[in-house]
Amino acid sequence: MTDSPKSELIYRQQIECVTNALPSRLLPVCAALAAAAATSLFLGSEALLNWVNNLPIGPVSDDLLQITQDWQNAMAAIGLTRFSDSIKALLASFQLLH
Amino acid sequence: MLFPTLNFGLFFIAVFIISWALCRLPKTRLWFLIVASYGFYAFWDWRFCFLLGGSSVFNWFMGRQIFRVQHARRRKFLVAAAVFVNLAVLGFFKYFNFLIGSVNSLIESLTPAQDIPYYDIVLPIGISFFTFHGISYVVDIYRRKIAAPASLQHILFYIAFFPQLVAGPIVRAAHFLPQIAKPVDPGDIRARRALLLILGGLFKKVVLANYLATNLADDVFFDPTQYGCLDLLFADYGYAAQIYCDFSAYTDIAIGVAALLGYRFPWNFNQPYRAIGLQDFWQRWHISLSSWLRDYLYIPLGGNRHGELKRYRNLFLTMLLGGLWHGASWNFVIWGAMHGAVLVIEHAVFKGGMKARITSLPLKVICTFVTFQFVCFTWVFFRAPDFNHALSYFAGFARLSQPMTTATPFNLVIVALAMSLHFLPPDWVRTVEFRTRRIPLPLYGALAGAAIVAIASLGPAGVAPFIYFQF
Repeated sequence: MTDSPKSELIYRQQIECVTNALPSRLLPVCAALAAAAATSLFLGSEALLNWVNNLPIGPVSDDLLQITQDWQNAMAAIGLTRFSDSIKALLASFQLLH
Repeated sequence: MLFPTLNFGLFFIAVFIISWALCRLPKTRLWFLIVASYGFYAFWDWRFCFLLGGSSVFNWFMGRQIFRVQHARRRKFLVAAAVFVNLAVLGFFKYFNFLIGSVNSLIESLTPAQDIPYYDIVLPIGISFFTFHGISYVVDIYRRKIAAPASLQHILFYIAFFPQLVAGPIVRAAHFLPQIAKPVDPGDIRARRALLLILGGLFKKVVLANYLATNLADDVFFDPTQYGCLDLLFADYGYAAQIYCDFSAYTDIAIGVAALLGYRFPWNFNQPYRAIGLQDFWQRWHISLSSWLRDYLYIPLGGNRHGELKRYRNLFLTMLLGGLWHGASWNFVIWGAMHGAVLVIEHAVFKGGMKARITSLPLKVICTFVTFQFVCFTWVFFRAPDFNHALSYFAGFARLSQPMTTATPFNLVIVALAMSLHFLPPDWVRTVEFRTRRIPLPLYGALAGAAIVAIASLGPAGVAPFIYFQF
């Protein structure tokens, strides 16, 4: 058994998964992220309230809690919390199936 | 700071805005991203930022020395010293107490001597990943895969960049440093693909992995003696689905987040449970680790250059050490050894690769089924806290008559959903991106926002840390 001559090591090319993706410009991307944040703020007001509830207690978090509570009440009044509530209700009924 | 939390969402939006505002000042932008990455890391434990910084500075310094020295032996000595120091730091934090425990067990079995005391060592999160990045840099310099040593700033960024810092994917120095050297292009952000990857990752983690853990795998693995054969089998499949959803979710989100900041990470998962053999499995599962092990461990050990027997030895050792890399436990050693042994058998039986030899569909189906069963069998060692626990799990397979309690419709659907991800077209993300290309990007973002709220509503309360954080 003889050793083969030492050849140069060639790395297997790492495959990127965004290589063939569609490029976008910065401004529309900023608009998309702003829209995503705004939609989350409107539809996910309860999650926001829960997050603020878990912040360390202090004067800033007290004010923030009041603001997010008012925000949540406003979203509930116009029916936007129904989006999240109906998903949770549907899931809960499915989990109860045996 | 976990990816699927509002904390991270707010952190990322701030980083996104500031980093792109600085895109005409590449150096300032990089410094900002370095500070942000250290801030991200300090969220867990600020003290380990010094370790991260020290590791980066050490590898930068050694890279420069290796590059400067022309004498082959001195270069070899320097790279060996650099790799040794990296592994020594990793070994200290990760394996010191494991080593003491193993030595104590040995001493106790020989003589009733006093035990060596344990030390209270906290494992720095992501240490395995940033150590591998450091080794990748010095070895790539040694192998002349990198044209010139990188600046300290580039090394600090390469090792600490927050999307890949704590759980990969393992990005090679030769692959990533050229990206850092070029200024990012604000006209070329792969945002649609990035958002799809992030949403897919969030769904896999928040919904699938979390329910698979809380409703199924955690309970059964906690006390397997309470369950019968069918429950144990179902929980094992559930864990296989959970670990895939959990880890691939992390890397999908990391790839998406990096893409939104203008950087490209390598693919890390490619429907691994569709593999027709173990070799195929390791080309689909944690691809960045398996290719790292190949290039930085298997090949330096000799690879396939010194005959069949040494090739099998190298393969086995690589998998054994790959197993140990996952954690300081004999279970991981067993897990790695089992994969190594079967890989050796596979190489010996199917010379030239299974893919070339197995071409008919029925045979492929059988091989996929057998491979999946083997991988699930080894996951028991991976998930169980110790060897005895794993044995008691397997012993439970004898309880054939015990009724099944875990197969609720909900659990069945979650497992089926997680496994069905393996049977989507491999390029489904690209297809969805292409089919939705006419949707204006702001509307795309709004839909993504609604999807994030839907995913958060679907998931259980709270988010468990990613499984691979412990490695």
